[in-house]
Order: sequence, then structure tokens, then C-alpha cells
Amino acid sequence: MHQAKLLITATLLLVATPTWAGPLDDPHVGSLGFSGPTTGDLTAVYWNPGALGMMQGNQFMFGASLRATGVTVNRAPIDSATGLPGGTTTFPSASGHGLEHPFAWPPGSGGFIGLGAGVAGRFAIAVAAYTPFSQKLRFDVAAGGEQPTRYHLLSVDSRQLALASGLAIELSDSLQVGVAPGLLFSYGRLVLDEDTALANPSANGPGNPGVENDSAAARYDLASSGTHAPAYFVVAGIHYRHAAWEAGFSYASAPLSNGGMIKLAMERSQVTPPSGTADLCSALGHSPCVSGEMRYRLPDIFTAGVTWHATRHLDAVAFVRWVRTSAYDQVTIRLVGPSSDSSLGRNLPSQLNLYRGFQDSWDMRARLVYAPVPWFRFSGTLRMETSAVPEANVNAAAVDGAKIEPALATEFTIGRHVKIGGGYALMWMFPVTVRDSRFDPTAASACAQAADDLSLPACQARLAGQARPTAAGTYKMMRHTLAIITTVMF
Amino acid sequence: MFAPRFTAFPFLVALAGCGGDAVFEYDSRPIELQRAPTALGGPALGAALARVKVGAENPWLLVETGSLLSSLSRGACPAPLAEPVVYTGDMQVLGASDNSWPLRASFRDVTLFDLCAGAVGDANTRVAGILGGDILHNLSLAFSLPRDATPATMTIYSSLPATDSDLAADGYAVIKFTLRGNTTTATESGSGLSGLPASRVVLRACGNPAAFDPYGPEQICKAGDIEGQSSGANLLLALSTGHGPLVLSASAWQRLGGQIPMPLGQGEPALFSPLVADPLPAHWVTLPRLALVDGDSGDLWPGACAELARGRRIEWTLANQDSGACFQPCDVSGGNALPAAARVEIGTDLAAAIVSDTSDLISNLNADLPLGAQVDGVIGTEALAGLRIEIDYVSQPQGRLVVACDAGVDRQTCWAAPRCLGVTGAGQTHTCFSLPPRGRAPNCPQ
Repeated sequence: MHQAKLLITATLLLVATPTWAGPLDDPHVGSLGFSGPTTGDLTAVYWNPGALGMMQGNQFMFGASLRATGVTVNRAPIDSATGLPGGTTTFPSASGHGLEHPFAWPPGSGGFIGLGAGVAGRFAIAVAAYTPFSQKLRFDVAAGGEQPTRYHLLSVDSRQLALASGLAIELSDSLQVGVAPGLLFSYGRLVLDEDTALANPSANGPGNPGVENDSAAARYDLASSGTHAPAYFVVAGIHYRHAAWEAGFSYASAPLSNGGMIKLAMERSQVTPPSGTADLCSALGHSPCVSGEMRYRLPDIFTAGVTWHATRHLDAVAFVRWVRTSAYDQVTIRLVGPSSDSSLGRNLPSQLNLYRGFQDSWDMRARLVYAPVPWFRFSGTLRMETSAVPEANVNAAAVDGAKIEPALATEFTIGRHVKIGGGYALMWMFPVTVRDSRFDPTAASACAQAADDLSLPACQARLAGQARPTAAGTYKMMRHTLAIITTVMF
Repeated sequence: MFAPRFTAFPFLVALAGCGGDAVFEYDSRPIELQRAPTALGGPALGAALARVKVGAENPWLLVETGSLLSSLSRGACPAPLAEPVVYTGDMQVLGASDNSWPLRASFRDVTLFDLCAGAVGDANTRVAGILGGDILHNLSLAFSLPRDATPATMTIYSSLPATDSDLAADGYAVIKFTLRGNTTTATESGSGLSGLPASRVVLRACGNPAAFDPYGPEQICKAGDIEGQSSGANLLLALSTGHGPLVLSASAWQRLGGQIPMPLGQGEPALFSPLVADPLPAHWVTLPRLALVDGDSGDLWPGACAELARGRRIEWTLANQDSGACFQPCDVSGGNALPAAARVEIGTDLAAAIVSDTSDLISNLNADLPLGAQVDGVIGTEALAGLRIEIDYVSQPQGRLVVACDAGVDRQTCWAAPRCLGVTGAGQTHTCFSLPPRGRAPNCPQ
């Protein structure tokens, strides 16, 4: 019997193929090495509210992560006349960096704070704040002042802060159910360039021919002033335990309001026309003078996992998440400029459709937790993930591929009331080489020449946000995560 | 215009605007429009026309914000049926440039009336369909309506996300409206059609106010005397991109001091309106100027002309603040100046068609209004020439008409003033009426 359990656990660990963290998701909400769908602490508000039912007494939990992401983009050479890959126009390597931590306003990603209590032995209630989705990346100016990723991304800072309350009910000695409705507060800033000559590359003149010409680049710096009206969501889960086994299953919904859309007011936006033309705000005397709205969808997530208490000192854990990232297909931005300047909407697009084209991804991870003494334990986790972005859709704003992430974590219990834990994870993405990019710069000119005829594939591509400079090239990403968490029991 | 027996009912039809599975596709880039003549022999500044795909043909499609329904004829006209047939179909909107008709927007699986729409502007401009409010009220529509030969355009957006205050800071006049037209009616046989959504934009206006110069003579106004100091006549006008001229009822024209020849319209060109079956006898006049004013119909609201006069006085005060100007007592409450409502003043000498109060057009416009209220007519695209407008139907709780004047248009022709909020603190400033930032102006002695 014991051998059979070992075999099952080993199998679960072996099939634990890549997990998803993707360009949006925080895979380490709560703590880095111990949280999951069978964990009976306050992080269950996120992972599985059903497991809240196992929480003993009252708890306060505070955690913070420092997450450093590095991205390298080596774009393929292009033909300067068409913008398509395969020419002689080369680009320097572009480096992007993102440093995320919760100590910012609006609150940054990687933080967790929760408060909860067990009630009458059959109920548990809790409130928690965390950041389930975030993205932060800024590309440096490359050698020679070039910005090879400018038409897809110069910088992004997107945060979704969740504030949720959880309730778990113990239906029997072995079965708990829980629910955690919550509010999602969003913040965002996005900077990228628009190639205004893409529809008519020859208009750049003989001195500066071709596409991706600096003199035709308009800059869109789009920002919200802070957290805005929240969307709402719900997490529901079930937790089951029997003998040495625990199992958990949960579902976290996408935003349920606004048709599943995040609608983020971007009232601190600026649009700088191509060099040589007047600034949009010059006639008004105040800046910024462009407001707008960004819309996008977020995924819902299914999570399932098991824990086997193999011995008094050793736990084996495996869990999987199905992240329905295919919902994140497009980012739509509508902008309104000053009344004195009608160029926004005439010479500059007043609506940007940014193609994302994500796909669902699978997150599977395996973990061993060893506690040699009651006051100390440590864990080792192997996390791998499938890509949330199909290879053809990868671009500087959506860098993703198959990834692997080993993590180590430890936790000490001090006295009877305090636990302090910490961990480190190193995520490495298998390099992605995009040869056949979904982004087709020739679609812009083909559509313009056809008088914007939406019955044509080129105009459908533009409508989808694919009529942008190609993103062909090689993408690399690495991420370091350092996390600490403190739990106070009282 | 509609089939005779159908349109004989002044309250027209009723039916669902869009099916539950309707699919809209557009790219939020300008769609080129053409303009119908404003009247027989008139300039091509009238109704907004696109093309529509009907089989192998690309006939004219009228974009009409004043129509509660959308229609597209599927057969020969005039239709042999006594009453309209309703069907679920597609409306493929094509650009209206002279030499190509690209697909620019499609509205699939929408409820359409199989009607024979008629002539617009003059007898020679016939349309095959109407893109009406039942579809448009799901969207935010931006129109550019130049005065010169530059093509007019319509841009379709899903919404206008900017707040009123942001739009005002950027120089737009924001005029809020509540949609009208949710009349429950039926076809002649009483066949039990459900109601069309309210989609008609009705605006408050001041007809023929006095000319105004912010550096002209001061207007004195004692406390509580705001209505006595206004000029012009209050009007309620439906916004119609399917009409060219301003259209007023005879009673409204008389309130403005005009004369009505009897019989009305004898010897003058008829008005071809897309909202009624037959050409309407019309008396053609010019109106020196018109102002659209933001406001509501609450008991405390003094009316469009009084609100316009207040806005002008506040503008005068700010323009002449350096010379010691002060706020008039009637514009002050609790020691602070009241806000100046957003307004759009348009002129000069706007073409207007005067029609009978009992005409089908005026009756139709008033079908859903409470007793005592009166829509006095429509404001068409010729009256709006030189403006850039966006009709934000989807804004909550009220829709918004966002207006800016074309660059280079002089003040007497077009003046769009955002709402101006007063300052209450000594150190505060505000920027209104395209003036430099101003501090708090004093109140005039009572």
C-alpha cells in the first residue's frame, strides 16, 4: 500500500510539466514554497477558499515578494521597404527589466496581507488583499539610441489588486467548502509608439524611406491616475481530506462585471506626434490633455491539487492550474484629444487595437515539504509552465514560452504564535524564436490602399491589431523571485 | 419615406431594436459620407449618406439619428404591402466616396423593417434604407461636418470614455440628453410588435438670442432676475442627421417673432423629411443664430435662454476681470458664482423650414412626450456644419453630445464653451472660455 502511494506521488511529480506564469499572472500569491490548493492558511482565500476551513484559531499574515524580470529581444533583420523579415535592416539587442514589489502606490505586485479566524469549529472567515495579475517591464534605449521594441512596447506597468473576503464551512470531518467574493482594482501605464507611416511607407521621402522610421513614430504614453472603480470576481473551492491525503479544487472567476472586461480610465495620457509637428497639448496650455480608456479581459482559473502526508516529516504535493488566458486576446484603447487639435482621429489613431492572441495554459508543479523538527520546515518546488502566448504572437509586450522554475523555501516557528518564512525561485524561459510573426506591417498599407475595406483580410488583420511592425526575432526571459512571509497566530 | 398606410399612423411602429445576437463590426476609423441637398437646389450640406450593400447594388443609406428604427428594403418600391414587414438581417455599410464602396461597418442579425424609404432633401435623392437609432443607440458616433467641400465623416466607437470634466478641460462643450421615443405603438393591424428603444436625442436650445461680444457692454442683472435678462425663445429640438436644415414648428417660429404666411408653404419648396411619408409644405426662413445649452428640465432650471444669458454674463465678467468686472447678483448663490452651463452658439442665418404644428413630423416627434412638453422641431446637419460632434449614446446615466468647432471658424459662426465652474478659494484659478487662467472675481454689490 505504501509503495502504491509512493508510486502515485512519483507519477504526479513526473507529469508535473510546465506551469504558467505568463506575462500577467503571479504564480506565487501568498508564499513561494508552501501555498497551494490544499494549504489551510490565509492564502487559501486565493488558492482555494475551501481549505480555509482547516485554519486553526485566528491568524494574521503578511508577505512580500521582490521579483526581478529580465527580457532580451533580438529582432530579426527586416526589409526597410516593406517591414517584413528577411531584409538587411538590422536592430541592436533590446533589454527589458522589471522590478516588482508591493511597497508602492497604487500597491505593487507581490504583496499579501490577510486576517482570518476560525469560528465555532465549523466556520472560518478571512479577508485578504493580493495581486493576482501584474506585468511590469521597461525596455532600455539600445545602442545608437535605437528602441527596437518601440512599436510593441517601451514600458508597461499593469497591476490588478484583489480585495477578497472568504468564508469556509466544514460540512463534515473531511469535507470543507468555501467561497471568496472580491473586488479587483486596476492600475495601468503603457508606453509604445505608433508608426504613422505604416499605411503609406513611401510617404517618408527619399531621405528616410521605409517603415519603422523614427520621423514617423508617434508616442502613446497612456496612464491611469490610480486605482479606479473595481470589477468584482469570486473564488470558490472544495477541500477534502482522508487519512494521509488531502485534495483541493477551486475556481477563480474572471471579472464578472462589464461583460468580463476590465475598463481602465487612462486620464493621464499623452500623445506626442511624430517629430516636427505640434504637440497635442500646445494650444491648451496644460498637459496631459488626452484621456481615454483601456479595455481587456482577464482569465479565469481552475486549480486542483493533492497533498500526501507520506510520513510525519515529509509531505508530497502536486497541483495543476488551468489558466484560461485565451480570454486575453486584445487590448483596446480609445483616446480623446483636445478640441483644438483634431489630429487625433485624423492623422493619429484615436483607437489602438493591440493584438495579444493568448492561449490557455497549464501550470503544474510538484513539491516536497520536509519538517525535521516541529518548528522548522523547508520545501523544494519544481514549477514548469506551458506558454500562454503562441509562438507567432510573441512580441515585446507578450514574451512567453515554456518555462521551468525551481524554488526553495523555508519556514521557522518562533514560540507558539509566529512563523517566519522565506524563499527564492529562479524562472528560466526556453528561448523563443519567432519566424512567422502574426504581426504583418504590410497589412496596414494593403488596407489603406483598399480604402479600409473590412471585407479584406488585410483590414481584418488591422482590426485585430496585427497590422503592426513585425515581431520576428528571438526572445529570452529570466526571473528571480525572493519572498518572505510572516504569520501571527493568536 | 415609408409606405403610405404605414406612415399614416403618426406614432409609427414599434419593435425591438436589435436582436439579442446582433453582431457589430467596425474599425473606429472615419467612414466617408456624402451629403444630400438641404432642399431643392440647396447646397450639399444636408442629410448624411453612406452606401449600403443590397445584392449587387450599392444604393444610398441614410444615417438618421432621428429615426427610431432601421430599415432596408428587400424588394421593389413602392412596397405592395399595407404594413411593414420586420425581419432579421444584415446591414453592410459602405463608404460613400465617388469611385469605391468599401465595406466600412456591418451590423449583422439586426432587426430591420422592409420599408421603402423615400427621398431626402429633394425628390431626386432617394435612399434604400435607414441606419436608425435602434442600432445607433448602442454606440458612440463621431461626426465631422465641414462647411466646405471636405467630405463629412462618421466614426463609430463603442463608447466615449472621457469624463465630463476631462472633456471640458480639453475644450469640448458637453451637452447631456435623455433619449426619447420609447412610444409603444403598433402597426395598422395591431399585430403586437414590441417597443423600439428610446433613441432620439432631444436637446434644449435657445432660438435667436441676441448677438454677444464678451468685450461689449455690461449686462446688469439683479438677484432673481435671471429670466428677465435673457433674449430669444426656448426650444426643444431633436438631433437629426437625416435632415439638412433646421426644422421648426409654426408655433415655435411665432415664439421667435416670425410670421406664418397662409396657406403655409404655398409657392415654396416642400421639405423632404425621412421621418414622414410625403413632402411637407414648408415656409423657408433664416434664423440669425441658435444656441444649444446643457441643462435639465428640473423645476429650478431657468430655461435654455436664461442659462445662455447667465453663461454669457459670466464669460463677460471673466473676460473683463482685469478691468474690475464683477459677477452680477443674479449669478451668485451663497457668495459664489454659479457655474456657467456648457453651450454651443451657432450662426449665422441658419436655413430653417417652418412646418405646421399638426404635421406628421411634429406629431411624430412628440409622440412620447408628457402633456405640455413640446418638441419644436429638428436640428439638421446643415445647421451643424462647421462642428465636430460625438453622440455618446451609451454614457450613463445620461447620453452626451460632445461638441467642438472646426479650427479657424469665427466666433459668430461657431462657439463651443465648456461648462465653467466658479472658484471658491482666494488662491484658486480656473480656465474658461479660452481665456487665460483666472482667479476669483468679486461679486457685484446687490
